[in-house]
Amino acid sequence: MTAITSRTGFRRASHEFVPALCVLLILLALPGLGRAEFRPLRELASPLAVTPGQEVSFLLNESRYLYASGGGPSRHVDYWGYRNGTLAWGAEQSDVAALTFLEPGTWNLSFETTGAFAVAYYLPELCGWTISSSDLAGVSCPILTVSEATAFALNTWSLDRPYVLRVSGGMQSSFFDEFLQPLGNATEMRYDSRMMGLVVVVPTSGTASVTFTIAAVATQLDLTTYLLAGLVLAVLVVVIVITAVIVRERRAHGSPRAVARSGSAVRRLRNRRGKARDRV
Amino acid sequence: MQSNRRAEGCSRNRAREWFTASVSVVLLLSIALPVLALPTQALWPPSQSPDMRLRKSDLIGSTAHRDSYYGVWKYTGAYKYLGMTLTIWKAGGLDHHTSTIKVTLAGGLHAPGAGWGYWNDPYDYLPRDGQAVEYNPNDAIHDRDKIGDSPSPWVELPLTSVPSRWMKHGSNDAGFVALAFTTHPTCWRPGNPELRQGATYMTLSNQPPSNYYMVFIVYFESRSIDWLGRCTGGTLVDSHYIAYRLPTS
Repeated sequence: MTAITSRTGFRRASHEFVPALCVLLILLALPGLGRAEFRPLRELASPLAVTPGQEVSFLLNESRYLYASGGGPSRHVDYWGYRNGTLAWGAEQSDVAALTFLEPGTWNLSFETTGAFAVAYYLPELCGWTISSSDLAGVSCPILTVSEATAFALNTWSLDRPYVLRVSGGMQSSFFDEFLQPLGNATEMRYDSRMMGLVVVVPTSGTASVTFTIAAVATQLDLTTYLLAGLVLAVLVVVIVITAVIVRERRAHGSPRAVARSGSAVRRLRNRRGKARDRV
Repeated sequence: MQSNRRAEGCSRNRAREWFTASVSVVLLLSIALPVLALPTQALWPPSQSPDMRLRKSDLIGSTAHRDSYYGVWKYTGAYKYLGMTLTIWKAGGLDHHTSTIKVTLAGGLHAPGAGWGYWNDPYDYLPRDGQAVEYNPNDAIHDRDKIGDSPSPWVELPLTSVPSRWMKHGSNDAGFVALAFTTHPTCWRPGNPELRQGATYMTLSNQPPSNYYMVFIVYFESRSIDWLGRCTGGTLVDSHYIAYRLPTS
């Protein structure tokens, strides 16, 4: 009886203990939120280099995008993402040069490889560069107000022609390529076949109004095509004009063939007359 | 004599008129041609659509011969999704390219759901079996390169045709979505270097997807090309697999 009681007690105790153990295990399995370094978003505007085992957390009050890269075309950055303590995306992420939508909440990223990441706005989305924009040149973005270091991601796999992206306002801007390698401080950047990477804007004092503009670049091919087309057309027109003038002159003065024919007839007549005279 | 002079003067005047008209036409065409020759679409994929939002995109793989990308968009009003792959050709001769897009459960089985249906499937015009005409970006058939036409302006994506003869296998409207776009020419260099494929998916009864994954597999074989345009050297084979869990919110 005692044994049964003690067994029952053990069972009861184990029933109470198991859920607690599970919770403990889950908490241990989760990346230690306490160990993660919390970063304000302004520190995640410029790409942050990460190493295996590093954990970074940040707070999003509105949705943004995570730009993560392993640093090269075939280098992956592997990480786990947790939003409000729950595993996001269902599995470990392995990104080469990825843009991932982030919903608002407290995010914790736990990295297993080296790489870099930034938290950014999606610039083409802000600027409304929709597909119905038949020509990006002249498409202007709304003026953006920036009060701290802010990143803007680009994610266009294919451009129809080279474009120059310009940023202006009371700020300093720097560009990063698709693998988050720095391209340097600049106010404009040319993109030939695709437009990837980041633009990071840091206001020089307090709040800055920032304007992005994009313009098509006249390429050598365009100029060559233009000149060739003009040349071919000019030659065609000259030929047409000369032909037209000749035709009109022939009509005005009679056909040269007719003239030639009449000339040969006269010659034949003279020859006949000459032969007749000789006979006489 | 006077009539001859008049005739000469008349012909000169007409020649001048012809010349002036011709020069005007040349000038007008010189200005208009480059404008008319401009491509109709500027960028791809779209950054924004009326009612879809980019959820994930990445470079699947990159070699000396090509770059491959994938992207997933979610409709803002319901559990409808769009997945795309793009391979941009850079060099070499293509021997085989297959792009598979499917929606699966965590274990790999097909997830319940369907494509948007052929009648309004934005990819309905994608080359099906027997497609024999290579996509031509200058064919001036703009609407065939765009999705999002009536009745559902879900997303606008131009140039979704593919640049070669493709065989499409699978289904996107028969209880699940599993598509494979395959082309296997021999030492082929695409005229349009962009090979694009896509699939739409919506859950059954607009239920939130329960641990469903959109899977992308890109497989290709290519060889280098010598200065005579012949394929040479060994076959470069590469394959990539991506599984992205469909978001519920």
